[in-house]
Amino acid sequence: MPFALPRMRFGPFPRFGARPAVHRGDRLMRMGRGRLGIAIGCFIAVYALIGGRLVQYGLTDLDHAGTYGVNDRILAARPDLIDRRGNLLATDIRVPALYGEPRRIIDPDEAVEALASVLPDVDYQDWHRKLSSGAGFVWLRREITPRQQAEVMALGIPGIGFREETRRFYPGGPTAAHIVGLVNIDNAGTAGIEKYVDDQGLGTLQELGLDQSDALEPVRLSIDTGVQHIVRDELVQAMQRYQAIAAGGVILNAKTGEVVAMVSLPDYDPNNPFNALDKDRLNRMSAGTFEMGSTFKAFTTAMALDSGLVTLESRFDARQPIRYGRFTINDFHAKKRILSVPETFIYSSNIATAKMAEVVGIDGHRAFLKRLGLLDRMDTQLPEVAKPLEPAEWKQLNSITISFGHGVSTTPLQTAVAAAALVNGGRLIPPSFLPRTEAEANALATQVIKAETSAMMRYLFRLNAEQGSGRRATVDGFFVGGKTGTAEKVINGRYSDDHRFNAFLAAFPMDDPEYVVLIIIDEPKPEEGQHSATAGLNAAPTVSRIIGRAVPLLGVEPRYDVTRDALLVSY
Amino acid sequence: MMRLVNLVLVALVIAAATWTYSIKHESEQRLAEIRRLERQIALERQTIDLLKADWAHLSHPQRLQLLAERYAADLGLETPDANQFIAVEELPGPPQFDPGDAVGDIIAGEPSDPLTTGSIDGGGQ
Repeated sequence: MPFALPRMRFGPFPRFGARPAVHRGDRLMRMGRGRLGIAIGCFIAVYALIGGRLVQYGLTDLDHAGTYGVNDRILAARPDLIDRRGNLLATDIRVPALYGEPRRIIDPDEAVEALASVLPDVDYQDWHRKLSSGAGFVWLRREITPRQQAEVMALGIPGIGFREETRRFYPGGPTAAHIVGLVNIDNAGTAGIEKYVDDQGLGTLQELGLDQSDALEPVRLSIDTGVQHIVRDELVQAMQRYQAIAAGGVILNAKTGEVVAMVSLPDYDPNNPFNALDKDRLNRMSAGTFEMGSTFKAFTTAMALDSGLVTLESRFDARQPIRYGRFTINDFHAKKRILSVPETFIYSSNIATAKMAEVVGIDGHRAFLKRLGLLDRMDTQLPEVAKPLEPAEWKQLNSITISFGHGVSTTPLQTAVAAAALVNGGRLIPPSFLPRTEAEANALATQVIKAETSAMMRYLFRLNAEQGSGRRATVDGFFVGGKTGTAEKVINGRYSDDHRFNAFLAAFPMDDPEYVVLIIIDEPKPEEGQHSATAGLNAAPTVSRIIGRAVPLLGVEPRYDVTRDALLVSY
Repeated sequence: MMRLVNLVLVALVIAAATWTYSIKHESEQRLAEIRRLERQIALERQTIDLLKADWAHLSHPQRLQLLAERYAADLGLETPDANQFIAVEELPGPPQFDPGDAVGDIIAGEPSDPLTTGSIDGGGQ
């Protein structure tokens, strides 16, 4: 809005020559005028400066509100971890911690006595030493319950106070313990995805004090809590039913490599991880290596078919056991006849499988397993990954035993990842515990077998679920295919008959697999009324139950129009 | 004349001082208010975090399953079978006739071509 300044009749500095007539004391006045002018000028300058600064402050935004909030260094914040649907897996909650100010404590004896009356297991000597030390500040106990806080408050001891600090809380308890991982008392990640998040640079954020909890974006994982719970629940039941010493399972998205669920039993409660470091509670799926047994026959068969030297019509003589030096290779369910490739697969013949590997040769065999990533340490976000074990030098006998899954120890997770490549058209996709789209997966994928070989493998897996050892794994309408593995464990340096390591490797729907499921059961005993404990009797039905419960959550719809013969039509 | 100017100036000084003081006072009050609100926001945030954690714990499948098993008998709850989930188009819909179709009107209410679903045992003909 324009406005006119009133025209000044005479300013503070009238023009020279336009001065009023000189009166008495005119010199004085003139001097006064000059000084007055200087004074007025100074004042105007100072106030203009102050005014200018005020306007400047008024125009600049205040620094973010954090300037006023007390930025407590104890509150080391971590980002929330959420699952693929946004359910909370891990979060920070505030808990009070007890401290003392020894200089303000009047009588340490009395203080310790009083505290011991409301807090459990107080170390008298230690606390007495701390409270009479004359220091300014000592921590007495971290992570006390709100109730204990109220009781200590009620004691009214001078020089005893509380500070809030951050503690990690896992709403799901043990459900996804091995994946989510753990933090130590200083809230630094020590295992699982928690550690991965720190390694990605959260640690430096904390050191700089830039970790405002609400400023940290939550980290989304590829896990689905519902499916994770189903897998764990079924495995807990299976462990009881078959009195096994351990069990594990993984569900892998065959098209993206995302791990949707992964369980290893026995596990621990991350909210109270007193036993998390027990040797028996490690994450068997990624940090335990096992001889995977007959599930490896799928890889041997795929290798033979992919080499082009063997077709589905090829025949192998399984009439005689293979004698190699002082070793004899026998079949578990010996058919004592010549077997075609599909028969070899569904009867799980060691003899015929070993002969299949022989066709490819030792170097080719090792190169193939290496290409599938079964012999190298897997690269994934989880820090707990074991390195597979293989013979230092592959000889003929190694190739024979490895063809049916003995002589190489690898992790179950790697086995599932390699199996996904067998059924998804031959693309090996590294596993991921973070969400990943199909486009991203395709960019990472490497073609390890021909698409035609993959189609033949899908046919064989389905055939085995219809007529072979995987009959108990099927779920109506979901076209499950799979392969059992009953491996003998090495006990005191010898393979033992009654210590088994069972596995079942499945995928569904077999015409275009969406998910791969791998279940392991360690040392199962025969169920009531059963006389043996092969994988077909315990691991397969467990897979069936898991798939049956999980499909609604996984979003796979039942179809009744697919037949096995259609799997080979396109080739 | 000068006296009037002086009086005006004195009045101005007093007014400016009063105004400055009141501004200062008001800004202090606002700052206190801001701090109070920030404390309140922090508390609310913590409460929200806690409630979220509580919600995640209470709605966790593990807990829901325990409750479902406990009250299964009273409420008649059962685990759904994978085959009980079917696509919408698998459901037999009402029979479709052209409007004004005499035959259609007669047999209206009777499915002319019952759709077969493989998902229901003994379903279809």
